[in-house]
Amino acid sequence: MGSRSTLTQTTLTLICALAGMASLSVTPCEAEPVVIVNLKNHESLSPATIKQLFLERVETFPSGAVAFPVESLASQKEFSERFLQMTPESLNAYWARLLFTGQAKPLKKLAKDEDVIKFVRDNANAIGYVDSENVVSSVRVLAQ
Amino acid sequence: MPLKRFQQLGVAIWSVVALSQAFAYDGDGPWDRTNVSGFGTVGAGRVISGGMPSWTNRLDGQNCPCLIVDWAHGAEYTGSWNANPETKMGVQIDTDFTSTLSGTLQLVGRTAPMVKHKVGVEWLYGTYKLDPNWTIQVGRKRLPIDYYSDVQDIGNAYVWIRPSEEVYGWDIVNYNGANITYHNAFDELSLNASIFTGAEHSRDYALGKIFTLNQFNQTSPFAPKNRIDANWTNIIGAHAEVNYQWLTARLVYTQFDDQKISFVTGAPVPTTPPRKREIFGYAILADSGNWIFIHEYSYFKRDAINTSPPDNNYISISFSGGYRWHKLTSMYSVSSFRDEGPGSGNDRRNNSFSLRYDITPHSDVKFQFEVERPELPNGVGAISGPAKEIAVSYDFTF
Repeated sequence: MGSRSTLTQTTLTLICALAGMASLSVTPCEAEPVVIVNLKNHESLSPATIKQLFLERVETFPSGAVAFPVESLASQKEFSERFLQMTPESLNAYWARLLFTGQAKPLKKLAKDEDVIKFVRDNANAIGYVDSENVVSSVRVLAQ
Repeated sequence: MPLKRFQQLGVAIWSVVALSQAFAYDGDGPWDRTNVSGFGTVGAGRVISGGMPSWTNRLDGQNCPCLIVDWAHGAEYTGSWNANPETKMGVQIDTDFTSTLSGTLQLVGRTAPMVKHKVGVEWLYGTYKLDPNWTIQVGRKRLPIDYYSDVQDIGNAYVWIRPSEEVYGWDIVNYNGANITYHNAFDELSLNASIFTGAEHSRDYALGKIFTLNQFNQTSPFAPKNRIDANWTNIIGAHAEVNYQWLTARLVYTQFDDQKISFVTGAPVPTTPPRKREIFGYAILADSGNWIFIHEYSYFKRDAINTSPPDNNYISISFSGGYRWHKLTSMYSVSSFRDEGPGSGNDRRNNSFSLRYDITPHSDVKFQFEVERPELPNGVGAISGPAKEIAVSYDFTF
């Protein structure tokens, strides 16, 4: 499974490089955020629930376990546009309202995808997002 | 002296962060123990033209016509460029003491000349999480009367330079007390609701000073040299906010006892007995990503006892619509303030056009042009306007 994933990733990287050289406007190479959880986490979440978790409108998984969302600053823009349907600017305005009114605490933010993967790997109830190209087998892809 | 105020803010922040770190919870779990964040606005504006009524009634020699843009903090623009009325900076420190108990302090420094405090404690409260849905907070917070009330200081959180001064013109904007809040989400529907209670005493309150500067002569107990305090006691309120996809709706109810205390003779003398007030409000926001529509309504019911004339109720309403194109957002807004009692000198209408450009996700620059039109009986002087005003601002959060 791991070697197949590596092979697919290598193929994708090669296609991306060729497409870039050919200056193709539409390629599969744009950053594709994926939502990841700990391998022990067997929850199944709808896109709406993922959105509510990362907007801190709900703080638990459907099972009732408290969720620990973690953000990747490296993939935040792509994630917020795809999963939250918000631009980084409108997302910041949303958080400013929550944070400065005491309605929520800021989510944990990590600089790199690798840091997010390590955090999710080490915390059973963590949920994060990274670029699909950076996914490793030590975490489970929940949604893409 | 704005620089000195911000130096004091810096010292205060440093002290609080050091204390927060000393007492921060260090148990298990992935949370950050102490979080420091902040916001600021550097703004400037001026009235470019206007009428005479307010000028003729002014007692403080201001270069009117004038436009009041933040009643609670006495922010007012006159005929020359001024960067003091709306420039402010705040820092918030959140510290976890245990896994369920945390504390929050928000300090705000303002350069508005009518606000006597240099750096003020805007928020200071403890939060206890009963469970993931229920939260109790005790301390000092902003009163959530209108949709943007509790983020009114954070320009980066909204699309204009300021929310409508017709809707947001309250005597008092903070309270000391407690609230219990519930939040949850059901698929794409989310709910946030709270009940709050408390009281607030505002020494020499800014709106009172604005009012007295315009309306009374120096021999009146309301003359500007005389201190008047505002008391809101027995505050009880509730709000509910529902969000579904791009649509947000909010309902709010607040009641309190209002009393003004005059210090004209040196000793405190109530100008009236406590009077019951009620505020009914709602807000509707639609944000499709490109198109934005925001509507707010407040009905301020004032007890008839000891009011002159009776049934001196206020209705304030605003409509704002606009379009967001990448980093640029343009809005056109209309708002009005109506006093159901005759001849109060308060009725007015406002039209404004604003532009916001997002420099980064955490900062923006804005431009706003607005026209304030008092609608008054003959012989009654306007408190604010008539005036055409332009303003620019730079907002940031960190």
